Amino acid sequence: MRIEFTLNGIARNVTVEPGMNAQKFLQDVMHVPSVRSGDDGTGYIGNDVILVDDTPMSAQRLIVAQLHERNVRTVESLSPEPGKLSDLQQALVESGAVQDGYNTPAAALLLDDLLHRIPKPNRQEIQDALSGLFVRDCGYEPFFKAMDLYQARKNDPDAAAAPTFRPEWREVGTPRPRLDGVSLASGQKAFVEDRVVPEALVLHMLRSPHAHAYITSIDTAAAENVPGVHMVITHENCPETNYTQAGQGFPEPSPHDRRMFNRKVRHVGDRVAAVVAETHEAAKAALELLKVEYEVLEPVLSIEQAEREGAPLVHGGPQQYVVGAPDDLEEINKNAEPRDGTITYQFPIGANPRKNIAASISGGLGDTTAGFEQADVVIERTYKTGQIYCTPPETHVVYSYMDNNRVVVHASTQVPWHVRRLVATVLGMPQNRVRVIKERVGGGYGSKQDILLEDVCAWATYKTNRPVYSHYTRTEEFTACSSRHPMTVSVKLGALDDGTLTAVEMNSKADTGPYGNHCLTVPMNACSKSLPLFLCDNVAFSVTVFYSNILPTGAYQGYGAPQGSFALQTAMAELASELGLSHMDVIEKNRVREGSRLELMRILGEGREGVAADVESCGLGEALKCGAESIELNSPVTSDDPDIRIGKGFAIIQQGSGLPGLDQANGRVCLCSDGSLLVQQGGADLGTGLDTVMAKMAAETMQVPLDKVAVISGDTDATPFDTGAYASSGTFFSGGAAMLAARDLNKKVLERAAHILKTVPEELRLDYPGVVTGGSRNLTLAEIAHEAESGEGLGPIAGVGSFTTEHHAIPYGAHFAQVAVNVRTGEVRLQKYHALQDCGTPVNPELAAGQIYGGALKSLGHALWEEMVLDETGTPMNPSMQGYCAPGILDIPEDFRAEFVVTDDPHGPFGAKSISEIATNGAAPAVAEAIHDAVGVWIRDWPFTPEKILRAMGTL
Amino acid sequence: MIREFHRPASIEQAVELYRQHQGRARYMAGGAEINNPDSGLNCECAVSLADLGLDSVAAGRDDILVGVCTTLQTVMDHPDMPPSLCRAAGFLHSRHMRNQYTIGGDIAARRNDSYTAAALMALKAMLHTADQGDMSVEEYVLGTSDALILSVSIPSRTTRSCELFRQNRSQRGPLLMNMAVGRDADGGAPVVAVSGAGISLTRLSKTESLLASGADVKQAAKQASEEVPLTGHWLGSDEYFRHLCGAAFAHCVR
Repeated sequence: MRIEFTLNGIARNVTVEPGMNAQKFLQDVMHVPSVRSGDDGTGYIGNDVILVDDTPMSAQRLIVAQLHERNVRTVESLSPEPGKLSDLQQALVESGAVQDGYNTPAAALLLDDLLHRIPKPNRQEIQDALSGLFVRDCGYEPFFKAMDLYQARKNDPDAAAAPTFRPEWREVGTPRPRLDGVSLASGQKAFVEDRVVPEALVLHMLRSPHAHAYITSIDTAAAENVPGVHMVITHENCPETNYTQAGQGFPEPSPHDRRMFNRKVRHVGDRVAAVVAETHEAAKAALELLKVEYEVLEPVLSIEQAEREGAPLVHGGPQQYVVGAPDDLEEINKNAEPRDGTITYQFPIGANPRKNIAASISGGLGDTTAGFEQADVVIERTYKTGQIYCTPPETHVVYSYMDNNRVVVHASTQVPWHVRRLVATVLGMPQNRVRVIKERVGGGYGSKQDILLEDVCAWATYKTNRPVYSHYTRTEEFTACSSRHPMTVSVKLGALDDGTLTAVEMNSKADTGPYGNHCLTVPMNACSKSLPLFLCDNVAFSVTVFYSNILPTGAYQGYGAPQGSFALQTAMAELASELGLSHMDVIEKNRVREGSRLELMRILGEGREGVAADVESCGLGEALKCGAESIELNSPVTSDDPDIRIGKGFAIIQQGSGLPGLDQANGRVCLCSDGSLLVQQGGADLGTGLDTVMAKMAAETMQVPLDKVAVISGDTDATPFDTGAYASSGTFFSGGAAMLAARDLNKKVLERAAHILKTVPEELRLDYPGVVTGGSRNLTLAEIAHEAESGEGLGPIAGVGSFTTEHHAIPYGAHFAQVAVNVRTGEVRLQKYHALQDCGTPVNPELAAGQIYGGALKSLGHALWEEMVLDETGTPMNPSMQGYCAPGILDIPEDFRAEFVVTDDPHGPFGAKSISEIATNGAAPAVAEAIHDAVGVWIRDWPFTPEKILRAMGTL
Repeated sequence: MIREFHRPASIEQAVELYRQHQGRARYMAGGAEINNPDSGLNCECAVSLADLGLDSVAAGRDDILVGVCTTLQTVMDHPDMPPSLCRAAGFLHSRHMRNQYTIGGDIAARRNDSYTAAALMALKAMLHTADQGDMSVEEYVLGTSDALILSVSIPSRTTRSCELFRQNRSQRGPLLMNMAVGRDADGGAPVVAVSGAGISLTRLSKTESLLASGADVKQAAKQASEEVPLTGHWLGSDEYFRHLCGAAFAHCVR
């Protein structure tokens, strides 16, 4: 069919299939990268928005024929000139609304349309305009701030985007447009999918329909004969290497309990085979022709089923240990089932797969028995958390190709260095023949810490010598992706009548599902990121993690802390209620303070002995005080509606700042001959603004404006090693490495200047804007750099920095909630949510606030709406964006605030600590207490559905 | 996948094209449902209604006539539209999708989570079709007609009122319960239309009778909760949905 239409002001005349999806047409045929997908064509995510005759529409809900004689505009039409942003786009960037950036072009179009309809829209009208857009990173609140900024700038071009902190510095603590803001807001090519060449092969996966089964045969002949099919990969022809997909530092605490393809499938959606073909159609046709026979086994679908006597074994294969093998290993392996494959442990993690135990650990301080005997009141409560998904707008994606004899992998990953190591291991080649390039990441939140596609895609490239592209469907993103471990946490608290804790016990059981990704460390964090909030001499904990046949689990922002925090914080609220004391009084009596020594941290290491922590910065007291005031904690609120009851609650929270003794980050700062700086850093910016953090560290240290700094990050050829963006390590570790590298460069610059000026470095100093003073004459950085690269120079100047530490720089916070509960329907509405956090110095204030909003809204989603439900066969009932219920802009609290309590951590770069993960820890306990305050019932398992509330109230 | 796309210039031509391709063709208004991969409404041949001028709204003394291609956003914004129908259109919690969804598409898709069908049933709205005469929304939605709908006739706000209840798991999440209770201005001729998770769109006739007979709200709500036909759903127990149905009814008639 021939269609004529106008695209961004240019008349187009194209012959196409009339039924071709308009999004695919615009992205693939018309080469407009900003019109994206991410939801299997449903349009739920909204990043496919285009303007058709100036009306926003979902491109995926249109076919090309419907564009005939229409005027189509995409975000490219908003730019006043190429590479420039409109005022609205600029406001989005500067207000922190642009984080992962995958959906930003759609947001810009929707808000631009709104401004044409309503020049000064209110909050409700902004919500309405963005109602069809799904954003997971910034909690939507920055969009309102962006609109405020846009309006303010009309009258005052210098209106500030966000508050400034630490006025003694120029860049750190001052809002600045993120380095990649223009690219992301204008819809330029930035993501993996934008790099794929037309001749790339595509890789599609056949996935298991069974939760637990042996593959007894696979006939690939017919599939291989489909024209255009290059390769079919199964357990019969994949590498023998067994490994873990968890992107953790080597040696990983996660067991190596899988191959690329296994003979046994362990969850619905598990890998069965991969087809590599020239077209999607050929790959799909081949998948249909794969003949697979299964021996179906009884599935294990819960912790209770996994731990029962005689339960089917999820991993019954032989075990081996790199170090620390048990003495009876030979006996253990006697009846091993070879079809299950081998599990390799790098070191003991308390596993016993013969009882479906993937890992276990226990420990404590003092004497809890004596502590409970001393108590006036003892309570025991059990809390349950569900399986929660990261739901990044950009599903998992990879593109790989050969460059001579090297494999190049373009990845949407949080851990480029772990990807390189794993790909090299699986392919059996040295690491110097693998290059991983981290592209912009369209949302990760932990799920892109795991290596879910890169292994098989790189293998396919290696074997075919062709570029290969693979992109998860949204269904795969639910069925074959890391998720939050479901946990059952029992808490026992003993206290004196005045609220002083005498003993705390926390016993956790977790479900790691089919494989042991992060199986020790995530559940361990439930303890290590919650127990140290309270100063109690008698503490005990235990963690037991079970294999099962639920969908896979792994890393998710917060990494076990949200589950532990929910249990412990709610139990503390219940204890206060039991004692008849104010919750705040009980918290104040027991909480951690600046100067506290946390001996508990010594026994709460991640797969190794930990280190006791001295709390050298703690803004918790201020957060509690300010939060209680802002939400008017002690002032009850009533509703005019007789069906509505209103309640308030709060929780205190902590996280870490990377992993002391485990993590390492490295950076280089190179001085270019014009005096500008190039930061080469291994850290992976997954939308958080880490590149901008690193640039600020360099700019501040080198006394230059931020626009003199460029950053290359996450490219294993071009940057030095970094463990990756996880465990809240970005600002603290990678930012720290950038600061150290810049300090090194600063020192070297002074040495070179001294050489030129024939003086000693101690006489000189580097002043703003990049001028060495104190000598016989001033020297600019450009002059020094130019001299260095001349025929008489001493060579280019670069600084290097390596950041490791044994210090914990613990971020703290207090989150407050006010909810309205409908006693007739059980529905909960969020009226207020105030998040107060101590992240040390907020380096990028506007982006840091977005991180808090995003984390808080994620955990509000966990608490109220989100869950993955499996039927009795292990098949998911709701693996879609709509069915899963991650919150949208219409779900956010009516009054949503993120506030900083600024402290100055002595070990953090420029006083900074982490910001993001901690924000996921407060909502569940705060909302649980608020519901109790409203209707008098404690809901102890996620999500707090209307049915659970009505049951607890005795209505059902 | 749609392989043929027709843009007829007249209603007669549209009906003729549809008949020619019967079994593999669908009428396409905005296309939001047909192009939704989850709707199960894919077809090989689309007969577009875009050029037929079926997107106008005309307000009369006793009713308002809404063209089948009128978008839900237009329905929501139109000053003469019954307030309940404006609200119902707004149940589609995506403004840009409301720019694409049409009232005709929402009716013709026969989804249990339709945004407007329950309200239209409760309002006793009528459909004017090109080839099968007039029929009620209820007849169409609960039947199997493949008539080309031209317009929807909705009684004016002075002749009939309607109250709505709708609760989703989250605002854009799956539907839990949807109810519309319509009555004449004098309170007569009640219609109680309900749908929800595992509940196909249906009328609660015994509840309507109780309501018509002047029974108290509590008694009628109990009847509604007992009468609602449940098929079981992962979103909640039967007991919960029965309770919610009663609560929805009480909300609509309070």
